[in-house]
Order: sequence, then structure tokens, then C-alpha cells
Amino acid sequence: MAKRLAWLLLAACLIFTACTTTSSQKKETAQKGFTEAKEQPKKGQAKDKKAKEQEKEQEQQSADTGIKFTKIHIPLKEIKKENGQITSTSVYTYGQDKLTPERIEIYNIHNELIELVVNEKIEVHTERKSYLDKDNNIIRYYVITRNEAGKIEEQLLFNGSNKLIAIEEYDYDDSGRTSEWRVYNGNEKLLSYNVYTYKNGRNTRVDSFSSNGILSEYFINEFDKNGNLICESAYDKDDNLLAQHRSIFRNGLIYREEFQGEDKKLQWYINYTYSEQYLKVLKTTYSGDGRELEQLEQSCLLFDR
Amino acid sequence: MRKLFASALLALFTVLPISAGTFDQSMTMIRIMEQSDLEYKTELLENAFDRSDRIAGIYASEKLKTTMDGEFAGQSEEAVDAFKKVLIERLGETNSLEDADIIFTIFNGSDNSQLVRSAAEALGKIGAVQYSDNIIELLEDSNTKQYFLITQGYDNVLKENEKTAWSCVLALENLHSKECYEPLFHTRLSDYSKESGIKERASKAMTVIVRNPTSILKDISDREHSSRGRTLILDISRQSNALEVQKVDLAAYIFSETIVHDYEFGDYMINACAAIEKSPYKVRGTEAALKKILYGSYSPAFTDLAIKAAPHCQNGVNVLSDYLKEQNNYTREGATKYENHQIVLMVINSLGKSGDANAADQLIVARDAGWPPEIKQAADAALNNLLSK
Repeated sequence: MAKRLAWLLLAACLIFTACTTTSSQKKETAQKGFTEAKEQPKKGQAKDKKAKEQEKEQEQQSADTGIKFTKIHIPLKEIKKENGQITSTSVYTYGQDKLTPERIEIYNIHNELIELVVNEKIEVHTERKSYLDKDNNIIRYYVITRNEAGKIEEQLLFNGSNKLIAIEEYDYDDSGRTSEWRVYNGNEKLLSYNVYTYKNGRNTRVDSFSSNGILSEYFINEFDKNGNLICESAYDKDDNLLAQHRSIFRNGLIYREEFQGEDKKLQWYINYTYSEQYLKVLKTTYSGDGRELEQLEQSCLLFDR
Repeated sequence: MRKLFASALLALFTVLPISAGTFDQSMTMIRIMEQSDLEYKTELLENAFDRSDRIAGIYASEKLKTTMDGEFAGQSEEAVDAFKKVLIERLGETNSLEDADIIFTIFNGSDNSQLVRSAAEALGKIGAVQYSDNIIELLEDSNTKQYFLITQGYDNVLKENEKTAWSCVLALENLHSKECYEPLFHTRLSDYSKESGIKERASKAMTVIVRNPTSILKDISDREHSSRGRTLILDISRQSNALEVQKVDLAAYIFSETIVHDYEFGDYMINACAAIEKSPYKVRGTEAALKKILYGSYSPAFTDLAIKAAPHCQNGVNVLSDYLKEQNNYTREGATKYENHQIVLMVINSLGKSGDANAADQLIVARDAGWPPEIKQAADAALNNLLSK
């Protein structure tokens, strides 16, 4: 008995050592990978070299280090520019959870408030998200009901005249993943519903049905080895491609988004750049032919996931 | 139809607007819109998408073309126009420059003033500078009409006219081309009510356009030395008070332009002199104007202001000293004019406050020259002032 206990103890020690080594190695690799991702071209380096590096980076797509950026960006301020000129500034104020904006104020170039988004709790599980114009008139609002886990169960959309425009309902499976999403019009007539299918814990397919239960279109989602959603493709019921949304990640951070229409024509793309400490995110949107449409500069806080 | 991105998309979501929807939901909503009647299409497009939703933008772009091609020919004009309005607004938000021509067709051809206004604003938002002349024309037309409408008491039309002017002003502000300045200036002088806020809006739009005031001023003064050009310079000088960064340079430019070209004086010159006097650095480009002031016959009040500002101009102390030297020489020869005495006094006081040691030479000469006692005393005080610094 004592001998058996000694063997068990020895085995436990060996397993513990192996685990510790693996986790410390992983940690080391993680730190190394993060530093690599942080490396920026030094001042004075040729521009074309920088461009080549970016291209290479994009080509590599998911061939990154496998290490995830483990923070969440919480925007505090967002400056929108068009043709290099500031067109609006959004200021975010957060509630107690530090994740949900309670208030988003949008100012124009003259620092005048032009739009306000207010998120307020009206009951324990119900909140109201209102969009107001510069004169404080409600343009539209959502009444959102959440379940115990904080996930949206129902979302009602009203216009500025309090007319119910649409209702959305969500169902979740036992693991808390979205299993169905339904849309009704203001008269509570079902318009459409989407059914979500998961494979290896990832949402790989969405089937979209019209109210009579006939498949209208479906969506195929592709993920990289790190679980980042890198491609979403929409097909009609006859398997014709309708649209595609592609994303390029590196170390858990998105670097580029592309959207193609049914003719596979690039409609727009977005390039993301990050400041050295990742506290600033610059999101530049281009039209398919490369015309810069807008630039969003977000100043963020970083939170652990 | 907004739902936060699912957990798998968390990284993506965190750098997207909070209310961004998932791809499948946006696409589904587009299909729902496509299958709905015109009224519900309009309601959904107006309310169910975020302003910057580009999937909705693509839908709007395609839909505006088919709508213009007569897709809803059997529907009421009112319903079709309401849909067009929402489509246009969506295209404005998504900066859809490639749709400028079709939006302009509506701007130019529609009888529905609400639609025309939306089209004007959208053209501004997407930066369709090629149509700025047309928007300017509409604004000038509204400016002219306003007085007539007030005098005739057409209140309903008046409100419509004000709304049109408002939309045009917003459009021109976004186009920020310097050609837009003049019509905005006219708007500010027009007869819009204070409550409408149009004049205030036009002023603000002008400050956006006057990002590079000097180039605009040059453009205007090169173009014409007419009273309109002068009035514009005057106005830009007032606007410039809001532009702290360029204030001093602009003030210097106005100061010089006004004097050199014999423009009319006004409050703006007082502003310009005050700005120069407060300048943290020596202001350039004013030398010729300063000389002209000293030898011209301007009002004593203005001359005094300009001379006080002179030490803050590059080479200003030298200009004043040279003038004093010249007058000192005339005094020696007994040829000084009595009417110059006042200017000499101003120059002496200004040199005394300049803190520039180069000013001392001619102040000493003035103290010892054959000036009347009050000038000699002023020179002495100025020297003491200079030495105390």
C-alpha cells in the first residue's frame, strides 16, 4: 500500500513538473511573440520597405505566432476624419461594468453636440438605448431585455414617434451560444429567422430562413487555428456567393477587413494600425478602388478578457 | 438589428462601433428589406442600421439606381420620395462619392424641396466639390428670396426657404472650398431670423473654410480691390479671432493689406493692431505698412494703435527709429512740421516701451534736439523707461 502511494506521489510530481514547464515555456513564447508583434520599423527606414513589410504581414494572414493579444479595447474617444479633416468626435462614458457605454456623445467640428446615444436601465433585466439628435429629440430607440447571463433575449426597435418597427428574439443553447435569431415586424409577424450551427465549439454555419421556413440564404464561417473568424461567406439557396467578409488577424489583433460583393468585386477594405502600447487604434476605411473614405482614431483603455 | 459580436468575434468587436451587427444579421436585414413593401423598406433603412453601416450603404447605392430607373413606378410619389430621401442620407453617411452623379440628378431635378435638401447635404458629406457651384447657386437664391418672403409675409414658404438655406450651408461647410466663403458671407448678411440659426451656422462654416486665411485673403485681394473684396477681408479678419493659431499672421496680413491698398478702416484694424501687440513673436511683413502710416494722414487714434503695435513687428523698432531720426534732423534744421509732433510723441512713447536698446540713440537725440518741451520730456521718460528694462 505504502509502495503504491509512493508511486502515485512520484507520478503526481512528474505530471506537475511537466505542466509547470509547459506553462512557463508557453508564457515565454507568448512574451516573445508579443514583442515581435510590437516591433515597429525604425525612423528613417524607407517607406517602401514599410509597405512591403505590411504586405508581407497581410500575406502571412494567420501565420502568426499563435499567441493571442489578451486584452479588450474599450474606446474612450473616437475622432473621425475625412480627407484629413476632423468631421466628428465621439466621447464614451461607461457604466459600472466598465464595458458598456452609458453615454456616447458625438460632436461636430465646432464642438457642438450633434448626436447622443444613451443607454439606461429601466428594469433589472431591461435597458433602453436611445439615439437623440442635437435638439435632444429621440430619433430611435431600442428596448433590450437580457437573460440572467446578461445575453440579449429580446430587442424592440422603435422610431422617434414611438412606433414599433421591429422585434428581435434570441435563443441560446445550454452552453450559452446563440442558437436562433428571429426578426418580426412591428405587428409581430415573423419575417425571418437564422439558425446557428456549431462545430468544435465554433459557429461554422448560419442558415437563414424566411417566415415560411424556406431557406433563403446561408452563411459559412471559417476560423484560423487561433479561433479568429477570418472569413464569412453568404450564399443564396442555390449556392451562389452573395457576399464575403474577410478579416486578417495577427496575434489576436485584427489588421485588415475586406468586403466583397456577389461579383467578387472588392467593395471596401479597412486597415488597422495600433500605437506601440495598443492604446490607440487607427482604422482607415477605403473604397474598393483605394480611395480613402474615412479614418477613425480611437483612444482606448485595455481590459483583460 | 444590432447585436454585439459573438465571443468568437470579440477581438474584432472591440475596435468596431459598439452597435455593429454581425455579418449574417446585416445580410439578413438587407434581404428582409428587399422582400418588404416600400414603406417598411424605408422604415427599416432609416432606423435599423447604424449610420456608418457599409452593407446598408451598398444596398442604398444599388437601390437608388433601380429606384431612379423606375422600380417603384406604380407607387405613390410621396412614398418613393421618402425612400429616396433615406437612401440619399445613407449614401451621405457612407461617403459614397461614386454615387454623387445620381444624387445630383435628384438635387437638380426634384420638385420635392425636402429631397433636394437631403441631396444637398449628402453631396456635401461625400465631398462632391464638382457640384459646389450648384449648391452655391441654390444658397444665393435662398438668400435673395428671404427678404422678398419676409416682406410679402409668406410664412410657410419662408420656413421652407430657411430649411433649404440651412442644408446648403451644411453642405458648403463640408465641401470647405474657398469658393464657398463668399456665399456664406452673404448668408450671414441676409435676412434670416435669429431663431433659424442660419447666420450663426454660416459664420461657423466660414471658420472651417478659413483654414488657410492668408491664401484666401490673397486670392480675394488679387482678384479685386472692389468694395466687395474689402468687405470680405474685413469679415475674414473678424472670423480670424476664432482662429487663434493663425490670428497673428492674419492680423499682420490685414494690417498690411489695408494700409498698402488704402482700404477702408474699421474695427478690424483695431483687432489687427491688438493681435500684433500681443504677438509672442515679431510679426513679419508689416514694414511697408508701418512706413505708410507714419507718413500718411490717418486718424490719430489709429496711428497711435499702429505705432504701439510697431515694436512687435519685425524691423518695427528700426522703422520707428528711422522716422524719429528723420524728424530729429528736420528739427535741427528748424523744418519740422507742427502736425508731425503728435506722431513723434507716439513714436517716442512706443520706442520707450519697446525694450529694444537700438531705440536709445534717437531717443537721446530727441531729448537734446530742438523739440518743444513736452517732446523732450517724453523722450527723457522713454529713455528712463528703456533703461529700466
